[in-house]
Amino acid sequence: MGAARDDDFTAYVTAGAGRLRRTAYLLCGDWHRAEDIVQTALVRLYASWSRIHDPTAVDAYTRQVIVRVFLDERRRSWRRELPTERLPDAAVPESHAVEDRMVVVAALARVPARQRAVLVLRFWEDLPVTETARLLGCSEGTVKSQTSRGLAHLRAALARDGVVPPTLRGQLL
Amino acid sequence: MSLPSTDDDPTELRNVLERAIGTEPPLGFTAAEVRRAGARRVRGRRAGAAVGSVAVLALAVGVGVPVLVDDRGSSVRPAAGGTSAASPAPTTPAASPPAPVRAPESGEDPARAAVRLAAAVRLPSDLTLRNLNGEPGGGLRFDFGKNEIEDNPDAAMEFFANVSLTGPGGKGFLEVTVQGARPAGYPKVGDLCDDEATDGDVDADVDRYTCTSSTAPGGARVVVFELKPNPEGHLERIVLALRPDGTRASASTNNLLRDSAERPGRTTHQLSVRQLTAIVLDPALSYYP
Repeated sequence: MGAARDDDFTAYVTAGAGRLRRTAYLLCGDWHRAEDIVQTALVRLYASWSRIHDPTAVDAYTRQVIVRVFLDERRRSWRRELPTERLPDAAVPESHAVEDRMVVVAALARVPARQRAVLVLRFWEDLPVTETARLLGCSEGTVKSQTSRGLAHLRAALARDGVVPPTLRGQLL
Repeated sequence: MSLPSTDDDPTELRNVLERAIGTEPPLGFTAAEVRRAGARRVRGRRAGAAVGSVAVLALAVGVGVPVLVDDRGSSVRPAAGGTSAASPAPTTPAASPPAPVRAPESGEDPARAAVRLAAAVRLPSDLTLRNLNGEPGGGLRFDFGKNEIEDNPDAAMEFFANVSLTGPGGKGFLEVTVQGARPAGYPKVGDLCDDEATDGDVDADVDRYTCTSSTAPGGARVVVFELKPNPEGHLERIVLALRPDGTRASASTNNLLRDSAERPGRTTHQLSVRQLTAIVLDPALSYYP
């Protein structure tokens, strides 16, 4: 890769890595895994960088790799993603902000991975149904039904007794 | 207030997701490290490609199978009727090596099945088909993948085609899908029109859709969803056939080309329930050859 392209790639990573890691974190719920996923995606991006002629396609490509790496990892191993019925003791929050965060992370973990991916893509990445379907390689109808189920799962997870803190109860239920 | 439904303002859930993020730890890698790892990957891939090309060529010569090489260097076989079922070159490279795609239970090659299904959909002649970018297309084109419902590794294949339709009355959107039988234990979610015949195995947003069902002469359960009148003027009509063998076919139209945020492209339905039903009940639109 030429120096100019290297510079472009560096600029992209510097500007976008944090944002991409946040997306990965919402998918997997673990900052270390999120970082691994993003690194994997960026390494693949580098290998393909010279073939991407449309700058606006870079985000779409990277996003797609992140989701695929996440889903592939899920298929290979179930050990990391057993839904937690209750928050671990260590996660007992000290403030409403931390409590909110842990509640939502735990609730997201209970949403099946592919539905979670749909929710993150549609509501975090603001992707339209069409783009989400293209990225996941499924029909738009499937995206819609997965969205509906994902929201239902998330709603149910948040509604469990003793899980939703007062600060979120009014907003989400 | 509740979590948003599919077409509600997405900002509420986005706010919820923002709460999940909280304080981020510092990034544990640098762009330079990624570049170095990327360079290693490129070198490894080039070495592997050189070996792979020799192997493919040797195989082609050895068994006399015609091998086409597309502009990405991937080898593809011609599909039935001499029509290549390979996708057109994308604007971006493939995100990762394609995962092996399980053929339909019949053993039919999915690419071949996609071509077969495209030929099975008959549309009124006064409609012009375009792809979702508004470009004239050569007809309906099915893509396919595993319908990984609930992450079930035994999930069946799903074939789907999306196309923009322009005809009398304006523009609309058509989607046709064909799905294999759902895996055992597939969760029964939703309540389909209180329809015991389908055991609730269909999502139905009864607040937004009307829903009727009937049994076709061949035994397929036909379910028709219609989006209820709404201030935005959105129209949507979905006809779903649940076939006795467990496979499904659906045909749906709406007056939006891409997303609910768009302005409706017409004020009337583009295809009637009868036309959509004819599509999904056509024996040729079958998951199995």
